[in-house]
Amino acid sequence: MQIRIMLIVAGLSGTLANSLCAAEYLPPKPEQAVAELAVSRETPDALVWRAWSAERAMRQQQDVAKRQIARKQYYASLRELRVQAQARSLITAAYGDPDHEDLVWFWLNHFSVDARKNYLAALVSDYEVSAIRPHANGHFKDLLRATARHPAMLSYLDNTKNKSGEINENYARELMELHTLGVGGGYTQRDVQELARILTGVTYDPRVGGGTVAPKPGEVRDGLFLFDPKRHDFGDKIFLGHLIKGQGLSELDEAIEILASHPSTARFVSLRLATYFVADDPPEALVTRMAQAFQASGGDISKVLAVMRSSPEAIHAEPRFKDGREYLLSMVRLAYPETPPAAAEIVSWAQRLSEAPFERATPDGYPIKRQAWANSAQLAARFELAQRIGPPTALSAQAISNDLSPTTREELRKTRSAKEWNVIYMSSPEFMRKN
Amino acid sequence: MQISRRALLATLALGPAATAFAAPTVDSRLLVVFLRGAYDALNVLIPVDSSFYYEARPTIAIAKPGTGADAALRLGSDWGLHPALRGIHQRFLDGETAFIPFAGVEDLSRSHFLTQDIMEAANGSNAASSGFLGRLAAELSGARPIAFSRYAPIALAGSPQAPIVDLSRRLAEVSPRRLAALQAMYQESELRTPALEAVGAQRLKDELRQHEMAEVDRGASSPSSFELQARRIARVMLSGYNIGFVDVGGWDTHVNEGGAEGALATKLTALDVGLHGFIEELGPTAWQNTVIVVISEFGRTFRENGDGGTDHGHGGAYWVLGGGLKGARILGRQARLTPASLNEGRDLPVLNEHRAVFAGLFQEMYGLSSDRMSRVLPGASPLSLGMI
Repeated sequence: MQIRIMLIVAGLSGTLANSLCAAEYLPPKPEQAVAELAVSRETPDALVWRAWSAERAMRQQQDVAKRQIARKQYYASLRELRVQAQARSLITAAYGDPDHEDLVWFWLNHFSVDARKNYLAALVSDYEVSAIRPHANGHFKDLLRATARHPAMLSYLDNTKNKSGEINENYARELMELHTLGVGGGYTQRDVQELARILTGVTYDPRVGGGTVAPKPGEVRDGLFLFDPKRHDFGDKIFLGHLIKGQGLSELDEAIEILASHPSTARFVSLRLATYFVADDPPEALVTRMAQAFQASGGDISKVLAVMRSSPEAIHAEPRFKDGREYLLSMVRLAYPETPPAAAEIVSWAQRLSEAPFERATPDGYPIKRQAWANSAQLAARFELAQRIGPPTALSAQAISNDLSPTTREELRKTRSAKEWNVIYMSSPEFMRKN
Repeated sequence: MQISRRALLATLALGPAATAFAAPTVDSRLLVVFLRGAYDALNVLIPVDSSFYYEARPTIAIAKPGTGADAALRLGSDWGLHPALRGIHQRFLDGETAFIPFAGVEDLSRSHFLTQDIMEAANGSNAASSGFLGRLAAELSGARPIAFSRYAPIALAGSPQAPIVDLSRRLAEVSPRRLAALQAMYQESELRTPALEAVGAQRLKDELRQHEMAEVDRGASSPSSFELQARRIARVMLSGYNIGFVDVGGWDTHVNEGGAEGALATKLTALDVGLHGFIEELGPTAWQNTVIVVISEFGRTFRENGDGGTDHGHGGAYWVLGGGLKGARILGRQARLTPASLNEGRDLPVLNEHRAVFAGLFQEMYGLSSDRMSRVLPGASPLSLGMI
């Protein structure tokens, strides 16, 4: 993160520095493919400003037919940004360090957002790069804070509409139910309401990309982020048994501290990590040890993962069925070892496998239990994609698993071309599982 | 055209385990058509005797029956049907179609995704691991559910696992060699069930593709894409599936919806033609014991907006079609349309709750005991509409 610090010292805002900083190393061709995307080159401020201006121009268009055309163009440009953000995410995942990328994905999915809503298409790439990636292996509290201040999350869960006297509870509810404590984690409807009050005025300003906006008294700004005191409920709150004095944005920091250090959060996050990384129904003993490590370390994810990875349960775990994303990445790594596929293609494959990033309609994220993926629609999609993507030339010997059953070997022996061999290999039961 | 036994057997071999004895057997066919995006029910099932309707929709209202080519098709004294639905109108007059206005779920989020999930789960929440059609299949002996979709719809989630076949796009050629290799590789695998279902689905698609090529060779005209899909669905269901689900998107007409002509009318025409194609492909015998239910997540705003369209609403209308239906009626609870009777002053109320409607239909179609019904649609009290 040295580059980021240098950029900030040079005078750039935190948001801008984050988005310009490629946090992960990629080999040259994927690096180049990613760098060429507009979402990599432009700041989220500029992208949002353009989207906001285009939408305003469209609404102000009096002629209905012209407005229809402007509307089509507007949605087309948003779609283009979304596809780029998705491609950037997938290419980085396919060619970066697999373990690190799996962890980044876990958090992207845990704090899931849908790029088809509002201006999220212009925001999600920055969300991944500046809110998720830097903290994926750090402290959970930092991850929570970064997502709670990012316009993508605030917009997706409607906190931009949440203001004093016109409460919108959506983000408050999901923040507790999906991100921290979990269902049954010990919060009440009253806590949801109080957290919603705490969150009032926490929003973003899409216009900052159009020129400097002079902050009004009491406002807190950081790039697109805006705390607007005019929309904030300054009354005192009782949240999860704590008195939160009505002081403004610092209330959010207090709430995050309470949520991040709550025992239910340690348990819920550990359970999800163990489910995603170890087994669909992870052993209770393992989850407990992970939760203890979470609490003892103040939510240090690397410590929790160390306990998880060194556990006998993890070491002796059965090879698991790949989810849609894992299958896609394993295919891409085999079929495109150096030059990544085109952005539109890799995104369409991810969609075909029903696990495209930033396209999950509900905030609960894609299923992390692998059993949810072992159905006929998913397998049919994989068989089809194997046929489409299977390369025409022989795969490198070291890329191929040695653990093939006699039946699979027999079917491979019968194939009459390199392409056919590759398609059968990529359709085999063994290839459906992570090794 | 008969789907070959071979294509079907691949899936039949893994048929649902028979439920407890005394489960009713299925001898009728059900197809649920989900129009995703909340189609504008008010411009399809039109309250033609309501001056309030005409005041609220100055540019997009459909003219009263008998006033010209663009007029609504008469369904009775109070209601008319969008003129694009000529085929369905004729079936209404023939007693094979009924409509249920003021239908929907209680949820007021007006969120497409949330409300669709709630409807498909149909158990009072949206966090369900099973859907109402999946649960229906589990309570019927001989149920063979299938989803005509790209992704596994929640409506069919649950036991038994329904195959998912996408018939909406070009049917790619499949190599029998490859299918045979897949079948061999998965025989002994834990993934045998879903894999062989996927293989069966590929075989089905290939048979359909060959049939269509033969039709083209014989000079048959190429049907529009939804009609093509609908005819394929009929052929597949005839081969042995009796609970089908298909979704059709693109109904979210916020802008330039049009009236008798325009964006909505075009989609309605395709739907009308498609449903007719489905029925024709089934043939009269099968049509006698087939029921189609067309639903959507909610209706739209009563008043048109400033963009010549409508926004997310609440109460909508369901369509029920069937060769053996006691149709030609508008069913369920209804209300006079006044500013006071609108929901939140902006959309239609829900007077016929969707689970009650389906519970009533399933009771009539399958004779389910109340025990079984309470497992299919927990908490629902069946609305007896006398449809069958």
